[in-house]
Amino acid sequence: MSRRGNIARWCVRLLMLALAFFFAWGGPWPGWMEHLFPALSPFAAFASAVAHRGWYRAVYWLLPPLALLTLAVFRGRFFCRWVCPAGTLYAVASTFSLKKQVLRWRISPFLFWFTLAGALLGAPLFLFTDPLAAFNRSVVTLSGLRATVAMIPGVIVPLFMLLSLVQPMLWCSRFCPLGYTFDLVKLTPRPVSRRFHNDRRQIVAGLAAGLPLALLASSIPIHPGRKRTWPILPPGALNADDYAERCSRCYACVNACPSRVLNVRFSTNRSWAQFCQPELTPDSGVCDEYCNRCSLVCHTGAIQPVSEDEKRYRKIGTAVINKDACLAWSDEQYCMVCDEYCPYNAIHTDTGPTGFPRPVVLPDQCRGCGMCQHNCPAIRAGKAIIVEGLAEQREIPANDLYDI
Amino acid sequence: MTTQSRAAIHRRDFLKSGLLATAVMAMDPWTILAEGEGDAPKVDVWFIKGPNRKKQMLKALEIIHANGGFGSHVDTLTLKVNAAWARTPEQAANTHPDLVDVFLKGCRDVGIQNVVVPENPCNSPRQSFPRSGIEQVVKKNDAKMIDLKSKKDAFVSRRIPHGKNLQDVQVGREFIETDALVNMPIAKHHGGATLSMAMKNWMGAVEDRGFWHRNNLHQCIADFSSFIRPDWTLLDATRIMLDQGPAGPSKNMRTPELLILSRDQVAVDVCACRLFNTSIDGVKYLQIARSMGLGTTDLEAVNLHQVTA
Repeated sequence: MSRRGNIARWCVRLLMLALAFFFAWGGPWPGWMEHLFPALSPFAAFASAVAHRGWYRAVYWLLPPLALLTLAVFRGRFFCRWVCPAGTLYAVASTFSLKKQVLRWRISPFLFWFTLAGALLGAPLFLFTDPLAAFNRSVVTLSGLRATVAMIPGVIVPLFMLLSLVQPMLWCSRFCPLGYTFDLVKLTPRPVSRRFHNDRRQIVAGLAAGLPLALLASSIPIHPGRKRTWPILPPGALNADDYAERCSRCYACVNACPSRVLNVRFSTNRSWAQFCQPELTPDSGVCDEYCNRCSLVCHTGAIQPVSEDEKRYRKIGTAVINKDACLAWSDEQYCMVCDEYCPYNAIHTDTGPTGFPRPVVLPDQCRGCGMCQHNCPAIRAGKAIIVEGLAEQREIPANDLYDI
Repeated sequence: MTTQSRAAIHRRDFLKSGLLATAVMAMDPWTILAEGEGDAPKVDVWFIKGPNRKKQMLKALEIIHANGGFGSHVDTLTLKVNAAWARTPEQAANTHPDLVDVFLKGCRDVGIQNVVVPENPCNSPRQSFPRSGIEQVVKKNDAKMIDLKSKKDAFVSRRIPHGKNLQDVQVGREFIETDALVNMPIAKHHGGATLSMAMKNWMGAVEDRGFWHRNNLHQCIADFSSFIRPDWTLLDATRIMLDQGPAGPSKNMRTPELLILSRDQVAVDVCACRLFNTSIDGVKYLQIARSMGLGTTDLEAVNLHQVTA
């Protein structure tokens, strides 16, 4: 490429990098911006469609990845060279590289088929390999997640930047399954049958490794000794297993959450399939009554879009009172803060023999928003009201406790 | 006006009237004022009734200005509303925005330069400020709504000399460093405190509400009221919820169509009890206020003016 062309390309790349960074950092801008870049990836769209076993995305969100795929038919890895923000970061690091060819083997076909096989059986870990999600994740991690565990998946981009200092463009040339997708669809004089020929061993190995690993991941609990619990998931997630398998960990929802109740951590103990997924942690925030932002920014359909009204009737968890820790039940205080804050009138007041009002949760009315847990003033034995997650979210019918 | 400087003025009034100093020093300033004037020991409370909130507030402002206004040389006025909940004005969890609107316009009309409306809301301010409608009217009137939750250095430490359980408190700076202080709460049922009216509204001015809940809520409400002394209290009882408070929603609503005005916040609360078919005996923090000698808890000592607007 000519020198002038090279300068033009770098300008476009840095601009795209800045845009991607800006959108991923989050802020008051509309939800579609926050997941614009991760939603571009045809690889992620494909892998999550496999996980859904069907199409899930609104048509207009289908168009950008489809356009990229069409572009790739004629121009191959055009996206990689002009747009991909992760690629740009690697390219910057690679200009200072020692230029050693340590890894000669290209394992991206393996990763591609490994991911698809995993998606088939409900292991989501491999959506991690999408570079756009990885980029988004790194930025969100940088912009301040409270959980250190989020550093683990967030570190992919920085790690490969470091590795690029040894071997230039290591990720792009050896690992990237998105780049492989573009190569796959590119028009070449080679016949289609030959296209898979060179990679046949990796395809077989990817499928062979992905299937059993997925099975293992979704059945082994993170802490084997402990009781298995369900996570509290953002409103719009269907059930815990589907969510784990469809989430690409791009953390656009974590960033979109205005109250910071959505967080990354091992809060619950189902299986390794839930590794670093976004979950609600009511100690860090509350799921506001009139908010549905997270459900609008998910591009893999792990969180289905719900309207603000639908969200208010969606049960995502159930609050449970620990009477031993409760100021009203155990310490004879006038508290009822949980009742005060509950937007859904799901706390019933029990007037005990001493006249102190004491809270009782109405589980069929409780949405699990965490308002009670977040504001519970008890400290002697920890929070006295804790929200527990559900295997499956459901709608609470309108009733005269809340619909007035 | 700080609490100290106000106390100083009352002390001067008192010395002029020539009563015993030491006994009265510890007493409530309003009681002192009333006794100092001799012939009228009663505290004035106005019940302003009417179907139109804007007219009620105009009437209230008229009464305020006929009774000393907000004091002299008032550049800064701090207004404590209730904008704590993500609820609409009809749901009666927050002060009605129409009242706030007319009040703020009234402040501007008498030349008060800076009017601030600080609040430490219960729900997120992103939700509660706009949904209450108060953020909009504050903006419209060039006043300043302050979210104490997100503001840096929002709170200052103060000691409460007469506090029994609540002795050290972190209170919103604007409530202390101001020339005039006005409390404009809403009257409603409250799960923990029985009723939430004027005295209870100050919980939205402090940083750590949890401490109050852990250390006898009723005592803490009374303790804080012994410390904070608004120039005026305007209680929104235009519509009230009788259960499911403080946030609601409640289907058990009443519309007394009242705006209750006084310089004595305790007297306001005592008078407003009757709207909930109860009295001082039904509300523990008022009983504590009585035993601590805060404000006027005796209905006999209240000079009640029924006004229509």
